[in-house]
Amino acid sequence: MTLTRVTPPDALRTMPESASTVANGIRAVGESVSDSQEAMASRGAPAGWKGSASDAAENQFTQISGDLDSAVAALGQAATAMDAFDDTLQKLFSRRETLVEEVSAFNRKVDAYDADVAASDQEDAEAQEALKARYAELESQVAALQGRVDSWNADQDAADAAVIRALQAVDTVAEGDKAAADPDRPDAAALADRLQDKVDAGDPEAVAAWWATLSEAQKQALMIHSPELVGNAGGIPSADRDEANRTSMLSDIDNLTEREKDGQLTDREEDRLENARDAQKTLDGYKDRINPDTGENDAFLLIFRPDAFEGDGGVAMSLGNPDTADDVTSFVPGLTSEATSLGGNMDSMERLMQLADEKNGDRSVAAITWIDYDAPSSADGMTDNPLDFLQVATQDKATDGGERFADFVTGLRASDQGSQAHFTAIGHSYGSTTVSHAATDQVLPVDDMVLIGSPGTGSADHATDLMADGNVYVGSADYDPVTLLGGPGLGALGHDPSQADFGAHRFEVDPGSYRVQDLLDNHSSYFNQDSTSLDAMADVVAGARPDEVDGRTLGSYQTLDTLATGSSLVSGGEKVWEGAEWTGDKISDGAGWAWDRAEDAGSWLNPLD
Amino acid sequence: MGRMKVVVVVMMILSLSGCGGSDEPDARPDERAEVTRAAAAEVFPLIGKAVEALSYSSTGGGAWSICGMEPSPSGAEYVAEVAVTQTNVGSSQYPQLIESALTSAGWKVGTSSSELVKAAKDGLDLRARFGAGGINLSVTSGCLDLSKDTIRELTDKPRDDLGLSLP
Repeated sequence: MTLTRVTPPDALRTMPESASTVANGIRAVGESVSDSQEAMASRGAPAGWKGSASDAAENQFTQISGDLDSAVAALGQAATAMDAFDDTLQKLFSRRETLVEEVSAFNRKVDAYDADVAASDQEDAEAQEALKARYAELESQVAALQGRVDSWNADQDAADAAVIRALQAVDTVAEGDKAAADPDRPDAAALADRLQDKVDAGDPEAVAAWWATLSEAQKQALMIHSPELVGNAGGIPSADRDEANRTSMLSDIDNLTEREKDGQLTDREEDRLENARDAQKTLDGYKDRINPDTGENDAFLLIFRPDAFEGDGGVAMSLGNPDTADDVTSFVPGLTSEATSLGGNMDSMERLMQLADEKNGDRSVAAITWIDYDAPSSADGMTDNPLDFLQVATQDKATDGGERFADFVTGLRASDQGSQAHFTAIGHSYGSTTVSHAATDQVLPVDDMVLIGSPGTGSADHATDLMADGNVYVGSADYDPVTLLGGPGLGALGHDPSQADFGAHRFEVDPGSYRVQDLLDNHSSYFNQDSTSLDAMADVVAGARPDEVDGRTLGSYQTLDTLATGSSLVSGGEKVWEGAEWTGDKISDGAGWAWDRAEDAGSWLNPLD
Repeated sequence: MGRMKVVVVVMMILSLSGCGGSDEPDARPDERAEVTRAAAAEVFPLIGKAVEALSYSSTGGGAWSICGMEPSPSGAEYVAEVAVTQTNVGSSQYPQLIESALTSAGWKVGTSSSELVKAAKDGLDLRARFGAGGINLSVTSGCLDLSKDTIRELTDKPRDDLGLSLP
C-alpha cells in the first residue's frame, strides 16, 4: 500500500521585510507631504498685499493645504494597511516554518515506511501486521496535515486580497478627501504633543505604557507626523523606533537630494544629508542579515538625529532586536566618533556579537553601537591621533554623554519584552569615561560594565563606584599609552581602572607592539579577530566571567614615560637594521630632535597641569 | 609632571612620523575580494539546493568591513553573504544538510551545532547560522593588512552584487 506524501505549503510570495520597506517608503513620502501641508497652512499672502489678487492667493494656499492634507490622510491609511499586512506576513511566515518542519518530518516517516515495506519479508506475518499498523497511523495524519497546509495557502491568498482592498480604498482624490474628513482620523499633532510631554518628563516606562494604548492608525499617523520624536523616544518598542527612524532617514535623503541638485543645501543640510546617507549605507550593509529565529531583518536604527552636535550627528544601531534578545550590549566608542563612524563600529559589534552568540547556548544576542554624544572630534580640531587627546582632556563631554547614554539604556529597559535582558555596557577610550559618568552621575541600569583602553573613569575611584556589585571588567593593553594617562599622578580624566587598587576584574589583553609608531594601533586593538580581549568581552556579554589577570601596581608595568622612551629607542634600533646610514649617533640625534620638538609642543600643551 | 608631559608628546610625534599603521601592505585586496565572491557564488547555491531553498534575501552582497576598531582599524576583510529566507525542509535538518553540502564541495567543517556550522577552504571562512527563521550564510576573506587609506577606500565602496540566481 502506498502512502501519500504531504505537499509543503507554497512559498510566501511577499516576505515581511518587503512589506516593511514599502511601509517605510509610504511614511517617508507622508512625512514630506505633511511638512509641506503644515508650511502651506501657516502661510498667507505677504503683509501689505491687498486686493483681489491677494484674496485669490490666500484661497489657493488654503486649497493646496487641503489637498495636501487629503494626501497625508490617504498615505496614513496606506501605511496602516501595509503595517497590518507586515504583521500578517510575519504570522504566516512563522506558521509556514512550523508547517514545513512538520511536513518534512512526516514525509521522512513515509520514506522510512516505504523503505521498510520494500525490505520486509512478505512471509513474516508479525512484521506485516506491524507495517499495517504504521500505515494506518500515518494515513490518519495525512489528511489533517494536508488540510492545515491548504488552510495556510488560503490564508496567504486572503492576506494578499485584504491589502489590495485596503490600498485601493485610498487611491483616488475623492477617497483621500474622505479619509481626511473621517471623524475617526487620528489627530497626529495632538498625539505628538502628548508624546513630547511624556518624553520631556523623562519617564520611558510611561511612554511605553502610553504607546501600548495607541491604535495602529494612531501610531502610523504619529510616525508620519513626527518620526524623529517617535524614533528617538526611549520606551517605544525598538521595532517601531526603527520604522520611524528609517522614515526620517528616507525623507531626509529624498528632500535634501533634491535641494542638493538645485545647489540649495546649507552647510548644516549637507551634514544632515551625509549622515542620512551614511546611516542608509550601513543599514543596507545588513540587508542580507536576518534573525535566524524570527526571519526579520536584524538591523535596528534606534537613534537618528542627523542634526545633532552641530552636524556631527547622533545615531545608534543594533544588530538583533534589543527588546527580545537575552543578552544585550551597547558600545560607546570614543574620540572622533560621530554619526558617520557608525559602519566601522558596527563591524566591531558584529564580531563581538557572533562570538558571544557562540558562547551563550540558546540565548540570543543584540549588539548596539551608540554614538549619540558629542565625542571630541574634528570640530574640536581632533584627528584620529591621541595627541589630540591632550588638547581635549576634560570631562565635560563625557559628563553630558553619560547622561544621554543612561537615558538611552533606561529607555531600552522600558521597552524590553519578556524577562529582563542581561545588559552589558562597553566603553572604549573616551567612551569609557562617558560610560563611567553615566554610572556615577546617573542611574545606569546595566548588569555588567566593560571598560577598554580607558584613560580614566571620571569621579570613580573604585569599581564599586561604578557598579554596586563590582561587575566592572577592564581591558588595558600594556603598550596602549592612553590607558596610562589615568595612572598615579596623572588622571586628567580620572582613575585608571586597570590599577589593582581600583578593584575591577582585569582581563587579559594582547600587549601590542612595542614600536612607537604602533602605539596608536595598540589603542585600537581590542576588537581584533581572535584576540584575547575580544574573547573576554564576548564572555561578559554572554553572562560568563572571563579569566582575570592581576591589576597594575607600581613596578609591574611600564609607566607612560618609560613606554615612550623605551618604544622610541626600540623603533630607532629597527632603523639601524633597515638603513646602513643609521648609526647609534643618528639614533641619539633623532631622539634629541624629537625631544626638542616635544619641548616646543609642551609650551602650548598644558592639559595635565 | 613637566617631564611626563614632554615624554607624552615625544611619543605622539614619533607615532605621527610612523603613520601609525602597518609598514607595507602585502595583500592585493581586489584579487582577494574576487576569490571570496567566486567561492560564495559557488557554495551558496549548493547549500540552497541542499535545504531546498525557496527564497533568498537578495541576489547576495559583498563588501569590505574593517578589522580591529575605529578610529584606527588594523585591516579589512571582504564579506560575501546572503540569507536563505524560506526552504522546503525543516530547520532541524539544516546542520546535517549544510555540513554534507560543504564537505562535498571540499570545505573542511570545523564547528557544527544545532544552530551553527563553520567551515574553511583555501584561507576562506564560511559561517552558516540558522534557526526556524532562516539561514545566514557568509564567506569571509580573513583580515588583510592594509594601509589606513586603503581601508577607507575599500570600505567606502558600494556593496557588490553577487548575482545569485533565485530559486
